[in-house]
Amino acid sequence: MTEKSKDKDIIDDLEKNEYKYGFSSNIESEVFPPGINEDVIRKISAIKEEPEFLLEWRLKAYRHWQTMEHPYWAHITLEKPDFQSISYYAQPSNKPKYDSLDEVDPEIISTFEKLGIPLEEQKLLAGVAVDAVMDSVSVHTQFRDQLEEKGVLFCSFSEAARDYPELIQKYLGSVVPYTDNYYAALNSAVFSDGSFVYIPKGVRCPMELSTYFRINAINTGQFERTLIIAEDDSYVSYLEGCTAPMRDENQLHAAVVELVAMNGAEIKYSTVQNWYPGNKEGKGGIYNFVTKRGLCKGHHSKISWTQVETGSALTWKYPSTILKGDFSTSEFYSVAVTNNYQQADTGTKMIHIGKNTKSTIISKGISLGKSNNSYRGLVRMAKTAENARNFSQCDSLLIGSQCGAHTFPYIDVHNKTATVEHEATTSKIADDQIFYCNQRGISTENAVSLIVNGFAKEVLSKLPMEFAIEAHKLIAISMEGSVG
Amino acid sequence: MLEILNLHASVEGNEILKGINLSVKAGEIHAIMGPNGSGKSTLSNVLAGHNAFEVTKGSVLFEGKNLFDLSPEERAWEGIFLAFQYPVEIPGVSMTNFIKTAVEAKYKYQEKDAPSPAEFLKMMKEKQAMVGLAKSLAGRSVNEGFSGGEKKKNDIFQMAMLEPKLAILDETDSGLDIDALRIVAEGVNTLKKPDNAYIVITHYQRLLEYIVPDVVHILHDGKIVKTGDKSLAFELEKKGYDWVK
Amino acid sequence: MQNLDTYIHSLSEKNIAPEVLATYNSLDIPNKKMEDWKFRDTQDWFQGAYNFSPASILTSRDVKDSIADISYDALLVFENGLYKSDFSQPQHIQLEDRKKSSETDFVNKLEVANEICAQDGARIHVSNSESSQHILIASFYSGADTYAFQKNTVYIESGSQLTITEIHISLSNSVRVNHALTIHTEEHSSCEYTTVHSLHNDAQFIQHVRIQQEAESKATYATFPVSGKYIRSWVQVDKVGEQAHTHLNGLFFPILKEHCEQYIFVNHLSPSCETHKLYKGLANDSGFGVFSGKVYVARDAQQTNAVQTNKNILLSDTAKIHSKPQLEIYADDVSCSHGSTTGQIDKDALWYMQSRGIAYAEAIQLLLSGFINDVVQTVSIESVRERIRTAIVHKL
Repeated sequence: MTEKSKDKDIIDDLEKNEYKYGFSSNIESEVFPPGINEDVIRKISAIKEEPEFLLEWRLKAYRHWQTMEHPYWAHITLEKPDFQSISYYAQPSNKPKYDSLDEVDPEIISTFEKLGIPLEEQKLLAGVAVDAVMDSVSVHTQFRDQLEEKGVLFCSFSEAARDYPELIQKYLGSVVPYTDNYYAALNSAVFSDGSFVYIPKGVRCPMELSTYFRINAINTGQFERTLIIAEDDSYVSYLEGCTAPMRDENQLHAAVVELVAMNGAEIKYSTVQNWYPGNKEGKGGIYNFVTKRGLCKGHHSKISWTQVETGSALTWKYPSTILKGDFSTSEFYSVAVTNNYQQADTGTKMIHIGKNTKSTIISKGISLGKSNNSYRGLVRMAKTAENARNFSQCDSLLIGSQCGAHTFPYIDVHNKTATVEHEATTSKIADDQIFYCNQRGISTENAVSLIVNGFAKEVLSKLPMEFAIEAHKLIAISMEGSVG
Repeated sequence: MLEILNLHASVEGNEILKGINLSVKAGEIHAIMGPNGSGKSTLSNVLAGHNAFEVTKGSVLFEGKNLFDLSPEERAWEGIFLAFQYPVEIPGVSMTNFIKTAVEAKYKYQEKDAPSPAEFLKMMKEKQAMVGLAKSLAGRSVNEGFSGGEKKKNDIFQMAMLEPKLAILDETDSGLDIDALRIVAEGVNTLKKPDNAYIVITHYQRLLEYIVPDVVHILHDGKIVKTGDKSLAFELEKKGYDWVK
Repeated sequence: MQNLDTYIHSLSEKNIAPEVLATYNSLDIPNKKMEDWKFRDTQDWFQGAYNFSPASILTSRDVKDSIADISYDALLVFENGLYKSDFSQPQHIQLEDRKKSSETDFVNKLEVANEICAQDGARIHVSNSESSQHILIASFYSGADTYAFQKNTVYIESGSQLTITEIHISLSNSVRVNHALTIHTEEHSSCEYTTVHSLHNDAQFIQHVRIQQEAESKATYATFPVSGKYIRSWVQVDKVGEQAHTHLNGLFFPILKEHCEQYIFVNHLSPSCETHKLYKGLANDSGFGVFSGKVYVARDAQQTNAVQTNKNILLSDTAKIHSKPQLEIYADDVSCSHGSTTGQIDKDALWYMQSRGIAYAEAIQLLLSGFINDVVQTVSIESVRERIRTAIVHKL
């Protein structure tokens, strides 16, 4: 079978399933009744036919979670969710069936149109593998055979737990232990599904690996678990993008991502996050509590985080790297746009342990409407981090007089040969810049969009091409209606 | 093309323009000379529609349309171009993207199809060569880190791309050395066509040796106090501004 | 010898506003679970046994030895928080009576304790003073296990100017000091206040400074914790009037086991105000330094211009510095920035100097003198500047 016809088959396959991300599809789901207890966890584990050690691990995490207090953050307003009113498992049945699109908020559909959906097809034509996670169970895995030829393992987390239990047992929780924080503990107890990637020694993964997550069934919390392992001298670029349909109640999303990079390995992890942010009055929207952490375990290893955050009513997310291997490097590039009543508290932690380790942080926050956008970051130079270096740049742009932009960097230096540089600025768009654009025939709305994209360019340029285009559009859409 | 009648304008409550009358026809080059603070830049900003300047009296017709009914971008689409005295830096926005957005907006307004990417790139190359703008600048952010001369050349390059009917050159000569001045002036002269017009605003006569005006006006304290042919500029250079006060 | 709670309860209730006492009782002892106290527990400040009324031992010799090098127009001397008129030369400086406040806005239990316990302090009120005078406050702390409280208040009336230097000097090793200072600048007034700590290596010092600025006033507050086992300074500036300008400067240099913390909060509550913060830190041996700065810009405080700079150098393998320069901004037409660097001595510069024949040790001295120079230079009184420079260079 030729490459092209193979792609065609996959597209046909997708079309048959009529799977379009973001549509509030009324799939017959097997949904657990709301509530969490040890039986629920046992049941999740049983449905997934998980090995015994995994169930034990989930239960330990659950017991630990029960002893923890719900966190409080200074710059986020949030009532503690009622964890007994959430259902912890939903599985789509085999035959997806769609109701009419009228059920979906037309604003969201128009957003999708502006984004140039169907995205899957674009991705497929561009040669990007798509592992679509619908609700809690992975329903699509593409190009798997092709990847397997190279020895790359790319599958759903549930499959990995069945097929490669030794890898899961070795690495699960090795970067984010279940004791790490409240939401990581909860995720460890009830995680539903996610992606697993394993790149063997010396292999450059031949394509960008891509996943779409979405939240679907009403009141179903989504608890993804992603694990990426890159063996010595390997390379992988992983893309994660999200959209979510309109919901009235706040939905909880608590994912955990763990990355492990061995000697000389490189992992590039890119995210475009566009969960439903709530409406203009601040009603609805996703609560997004994510724990993402990478371990540069080997020497000369590298982990890059790139994120474009435009969605969610509330975002709490600090993709972090532990630079353990000597000469390891890490980068964090972030653009966060908040509008209306969105709250974002995001940033990174760079923990330097190894010698000659190097990290770069570039964060661009754009606040509009009545939103609050905070950068919170930690750079720690441990005593052992000889000659380690960090450079951080955090810039904020405020558009309108009802929003807030905040910067909370923590810099701890315990080694005299380490160097940490941090810069931050807060500014607005100058009237002169707008007039200059106007005079060249560019409307104010377009001028603002141009300038904002220019402001974020340093970060957007780090995204893989097809994501970068999408990100530009997303940023423009998130700002709509707030200029003028 | 342009009819200015008894134009009064003020900024922050101070009246700067105190009754300007000026008529510019297609094909003409008008020079407006004046000392600092005479209102030269105010006039150019008012014509381009800067909101810091308030028009208190008078009217301006451009091709028969009331200019004050139009937003700054609509004026640009109608064919008014202002080459800024101090071109603004826009970090992160590439020259190519910027000028492409501007050109496309103009074509859309004129209900014409925008040039294809290939045509557009060809056009950019030609015009860049015309004003002697280094190609590498196209990939850089608008005016960011440009030298004074590069910024001015960049403005003339944009003028070439947008092909305005009326171009206002606001002290384009300031901050330019003689070589850069000559290159900029050559670009301006190449772009001169029978159906467009220029208003050249300058403090010195120097620029007018390269861009030869049909009419010279002397602006003083918000009014045009003298009008003549190009010899007026030489006379002014010799006698100084005190002569007109 | 008694602990703080017992001492407070032994004080005559008449002298304490009930609201203040209630606030004291309601607050927790600052501890490591609190964001701004995570490096130091203060249990010992409340539960240890101390001498709250030590006998006076200050001599004119002590005063002379401590301040001989400093020029001044007026001198106010304190010992363990009490005014020593014998040694002071107040000239025509107006000293006000201590007013007990019923204000309940305190940042923590230690600040309330100061309000309750401080009997005395420099209470300066300036009016009609267009040319700036230099007032020197020499605050001595003496006796074994002394726990001293002092509260200074400075009120500058409209159009007046004043320059104040306060030097904290310990005469014995085991003192601890709870110090408070409030500065109020009326419209068009200006105040420069410089604090220098010259304490024994077992002495501990906690200070709370509140500065309130009215329109178009100018305030400069600088702190130089030259020596002391534990020195913690908390400063809050409230700009209640437009175009109030503030300069906040500091240099900390913990060596041996010294621990020094600087918490600097500036609240831009009115439009068109400016803030310039410059804090530099050096740490050697097992020295521990903390800088935590925040600029808060309220929704109405448009046209704010705030610049924060924090630069640190670590000189040993066991020294630590924590830096937290924060911005919290709710107005859109502002220009705010902060920069923080922590690193080591510029090796290229060192190499360059060595290659020109300057010995390693001397080159380091020169480079570090250069590093501290801009902060020290902000002090306007030359004799104070030299005092600080000499003390810091001595520490290098």
